Amino acid sequence: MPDAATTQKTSNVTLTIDGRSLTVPEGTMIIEAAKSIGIYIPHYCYHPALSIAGSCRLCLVEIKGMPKLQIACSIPVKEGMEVFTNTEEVKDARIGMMEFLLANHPLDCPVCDRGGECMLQRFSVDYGIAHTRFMDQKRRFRKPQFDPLIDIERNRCILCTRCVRFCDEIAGEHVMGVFNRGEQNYIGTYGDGPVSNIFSGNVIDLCPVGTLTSKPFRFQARVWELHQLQTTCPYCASGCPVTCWTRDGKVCRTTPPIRKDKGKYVLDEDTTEFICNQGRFGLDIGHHAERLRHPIIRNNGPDAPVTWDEAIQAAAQGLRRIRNEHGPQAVAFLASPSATCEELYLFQRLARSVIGTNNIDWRGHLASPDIAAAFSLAMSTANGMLDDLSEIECVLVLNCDLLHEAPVTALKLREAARKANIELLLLGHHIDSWLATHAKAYLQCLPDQEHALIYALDQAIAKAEPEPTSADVDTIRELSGAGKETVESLITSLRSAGSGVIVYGVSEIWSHLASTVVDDLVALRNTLGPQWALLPVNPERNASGAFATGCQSDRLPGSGCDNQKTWEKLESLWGKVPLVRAAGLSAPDILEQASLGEIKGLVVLGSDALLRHPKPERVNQALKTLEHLVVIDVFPSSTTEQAHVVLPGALFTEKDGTYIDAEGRLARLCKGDDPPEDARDNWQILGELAKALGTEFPYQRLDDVFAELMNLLHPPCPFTLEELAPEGPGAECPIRCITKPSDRFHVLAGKYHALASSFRPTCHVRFAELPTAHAEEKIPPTVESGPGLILTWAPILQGRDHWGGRSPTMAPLRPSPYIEIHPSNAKELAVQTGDAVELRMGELRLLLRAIVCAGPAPGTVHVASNLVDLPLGDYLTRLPRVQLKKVEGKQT
Amino acid sequence: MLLEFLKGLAVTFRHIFKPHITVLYPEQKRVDAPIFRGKHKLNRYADGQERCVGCALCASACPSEAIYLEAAENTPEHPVSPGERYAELYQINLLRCIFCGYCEEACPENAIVLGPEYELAGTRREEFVMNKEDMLVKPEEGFGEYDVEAVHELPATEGLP
Amino acid sequence: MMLREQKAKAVEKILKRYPDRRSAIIPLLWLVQRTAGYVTPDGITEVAEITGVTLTQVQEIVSFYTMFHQKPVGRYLISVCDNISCSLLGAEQLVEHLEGRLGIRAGETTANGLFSLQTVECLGACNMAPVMIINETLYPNLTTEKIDQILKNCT
Repeated sequence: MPDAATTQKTSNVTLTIDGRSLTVPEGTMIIEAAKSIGIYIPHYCYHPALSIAGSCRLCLVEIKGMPKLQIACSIPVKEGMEVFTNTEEVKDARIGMMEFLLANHPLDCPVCDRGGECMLQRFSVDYGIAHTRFMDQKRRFRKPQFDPLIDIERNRCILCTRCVRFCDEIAGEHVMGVFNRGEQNYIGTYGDGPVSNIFSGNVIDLCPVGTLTSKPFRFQARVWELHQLQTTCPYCASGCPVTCWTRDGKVCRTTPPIRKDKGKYVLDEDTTEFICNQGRFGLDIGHHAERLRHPIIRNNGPDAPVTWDEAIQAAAQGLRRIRNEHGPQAVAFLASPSATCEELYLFQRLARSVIGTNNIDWRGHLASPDIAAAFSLAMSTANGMLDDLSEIECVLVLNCDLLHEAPVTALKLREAARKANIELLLLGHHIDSWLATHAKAYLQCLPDQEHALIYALDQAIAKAEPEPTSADVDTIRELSGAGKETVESLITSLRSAGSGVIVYGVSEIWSHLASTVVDDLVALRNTLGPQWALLPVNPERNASGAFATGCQSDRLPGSGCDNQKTWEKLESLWGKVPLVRAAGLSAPDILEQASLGEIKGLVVLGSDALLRHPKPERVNQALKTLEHLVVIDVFPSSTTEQAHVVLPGALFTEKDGTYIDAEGRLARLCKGDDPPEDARDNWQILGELAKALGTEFPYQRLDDVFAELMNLLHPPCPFTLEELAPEGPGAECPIRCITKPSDRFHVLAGKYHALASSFRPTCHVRFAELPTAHAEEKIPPTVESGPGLILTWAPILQGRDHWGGRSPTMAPLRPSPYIEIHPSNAKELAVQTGDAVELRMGELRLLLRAIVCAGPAPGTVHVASNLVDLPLGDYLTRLPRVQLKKVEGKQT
Repeated sequence: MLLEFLKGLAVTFRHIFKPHITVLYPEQKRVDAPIFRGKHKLNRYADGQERCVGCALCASACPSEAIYLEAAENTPEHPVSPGERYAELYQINLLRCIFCGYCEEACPENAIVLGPEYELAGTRREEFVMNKEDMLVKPEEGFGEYDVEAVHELPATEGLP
Repeated sequence: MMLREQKAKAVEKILKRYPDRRSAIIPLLWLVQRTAGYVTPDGITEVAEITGVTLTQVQEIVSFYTMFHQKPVGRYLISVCDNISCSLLGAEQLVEHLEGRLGIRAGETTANGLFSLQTVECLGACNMAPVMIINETLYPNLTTEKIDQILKNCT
């Protein structure tokens, strides 16, 4: 369905609503036009992100010249139209409609979780009548089990079908429906099964009444008792702004950003910013029983009471001793890409100016220096943004299971493709099958052919001929096995698009090839023209932040290590201490050197990256060899068990700070609670550690850290930490939010661009450092030879994880280990979705649930690496082949 | 001067023979008006189930923020109240309470009422935080005359799932 | 697997009639009902697979039309209109009468599997109200006596 607003953008229409004249684009519906001048027309079924149903009849308005009242949600504006939204006739009609809607409503507001933010309550105040003329017994439904996250109470339903349309149009599957007819109409799923998609939680907000409510939030609190905390989701690089609703500091529920209504901030049931279930239900880990609450010194025993002073002194003493005995290069620092920018900045300052080493990195989850280098290359060339998809014509997604790595980015792209605003093209050995339904074309290839395919595409596009030459098309066809039309349409789309973004998943590119593939992508981007941008998507929330803050051995805050000026600036900024400019080690090298005994002391800020390392035994071995290990973390892990000193830190709801997402957007994390018991805010811990090591950081407040960091960007970012906070209540947040109607800025290739003003101040940090020299071509055979299917893998958001994996709500709903099989291979194996298959890899046997989809390329199968127990770390340079066998009689 | 002295005594003697309004508390108790607002009571239905559904309207009506409650879901095996929701934790801090009766006004279930009890002295602050057990009507006091059938879950309409 | 195995030709024929597979849902459901006597859950699954829609979409259609049965029905399916014209002329009493005669409630089937009774929306014969349909025969201008007569003939 083409979007009315975009296709008819050119002409404008002038009309009057309630006597006020306004001009809006042709094709706008009256309800939207009225909203633009602040006239709110009550409605239930209308939602700006969904198709129009016109079923609630509450938005009736009077239009001059029309004999009867019309519904404002489905009447487009016309030149000279006169609309009245508040006449006696309109009010009468609405009162009548409310009486109909309430006829079967059980009026159980006291026990309804929606009470207090219910649209039915709101309009009952305006248009309801105190009595009912409905004499008969109200209809009553039984209550089914329904979804594990969503509670259904059909008696309250007014059949607006918002949930049905959301699942059908936006989540992409018609899983909810309206059954029966007439008075017996009800909503549900087939067989009352679960609403099985990753965005299902949004139907809770969309529901204007209390029919669909949140099961985890059920009876936790009344909404008016909750504090709203405007913050950002810490789970993936989509970087969604969210509102955490807290009671006594405990996160009761999470919703998309709230809206302002009559001076109060309330749930926005007309929001178009949908969030995924992991962000909505997975933030309830703050009061987890396993939290680290007290500092630990291992020699004293894990339960021995230790004061903070003792712990800090013990931590500092060990580091000081190693520095004095073995030199600063024997100390290394590993940060987590889930830490905030301010923490990461202080962490690298601790390493560089206090200890005097460049052995600092955030890529602890990467096993080989090659991949680490590819990550670095990817980050430094990232300049793509998906903020304003109306300005982008084409998006090419390479190798990225966006739906499972950055769901909301996938949602944005799919919506734009569905409304035909962008052309979506997919490429690679593992494409997102959810996006594929709306893709214009997709090409699949084997994992070791990717660079060749990209190179061939590059060559085909670079030629000046208007039509792609048949030789190029044949090469691409040979590599991808796709039809001629597909290849030609893909090339034509790429060539004709005026602007575009290449989105690619870094975590799915392999080892030796990684740098080559990224390099080829950069070349492809250069061929396509300056209107094209690159956007690598890491699953890590603050990977861009770690890169920008210089938390990497070859990066300084804001720029690369070869920048003499930055070194000098840092030296003067950090108290005129000469900084060691010798190159440091990257994370894979740090672990390597640690196991060799060269690195003797290690400071870890958040162990989640290390826990994701594909070879845990190698990490453990390295950590065991260390003489001194200091870990700052929130949950116990195999890393904290090895640590000589454990310092309990703060979780995302317990600290202020900023995150930078994949698109470079700076987002503010707001504090809504204190860390439990003895745990402290991480930036204070780092400050104390520095002080104990003999250098006191000069920062009074976190704002000072942020300001210093932002001044190191080129050019300096114009926002303060306080200004970056989204508009709205700061809840129990100590730094109050001050918002001015500022323009949006983004740092792109050294320039700020002012965009349209927005509800939230938005700031982008991007580094478009395009490399001049091409990476060395290394093309070893990366796939095992022999029979069988090639196994590929990538982590998913809902998999086992240091933080998110602990959520009491989401952990039980973690998908069972699955394997994605291409339909052509599935046919050979006679496997259908849901069948149990046995995977054989050498001596290993594993039972997995089959998912037949277009995701993996023919000849390959794909697993989620953080769901299965496979020694994938052994296959970093050589992709394994596996045998699959259907297990008869077993359905998973 | 003597005259003034006698005048004063006259007043004294006049009052000696009038009936006195003080009572010999605690041996004697004062009789209160029926609308007296004393310590809170939580009512029950005739079958012993609690009337309170934990809607927290009392807490939001309370001008002195004396009420705190946490709701929970009834299990079919051990329903605490009719319907789905009940108050798992219901506390009133009598040190904060000003006995205005707004909670009683706000209650949609007639669950909370201010009773006649006014002997609320205590020696420790904790004693003034009343829990549900302190307020629920005891079985020996009787559970009132409300028809329990009228509010309990009605059966589903025929022909509907 | 009933449809595709037993009625492969009929399925092919139905699918050929429409440019869009979704359009074939109702004819396919008819086919299921004629074959199995009612719309079985397996049938719904199969129709969804053939037409490429979700189970929910098929279920929506099945539950919307009173002509589709989700439970086995008796040999004689009595459908009484309970819309306004028929109700004004005593359809409710007729349903009560039928319920009494058959010993079942509306929506049920007699133990011997002979009769099923249901109330339906307008049958498009308001000029002959009250009306009912037994299987595919319409009975107009009903009275309790007429019903008794009709039932007598149904054995």
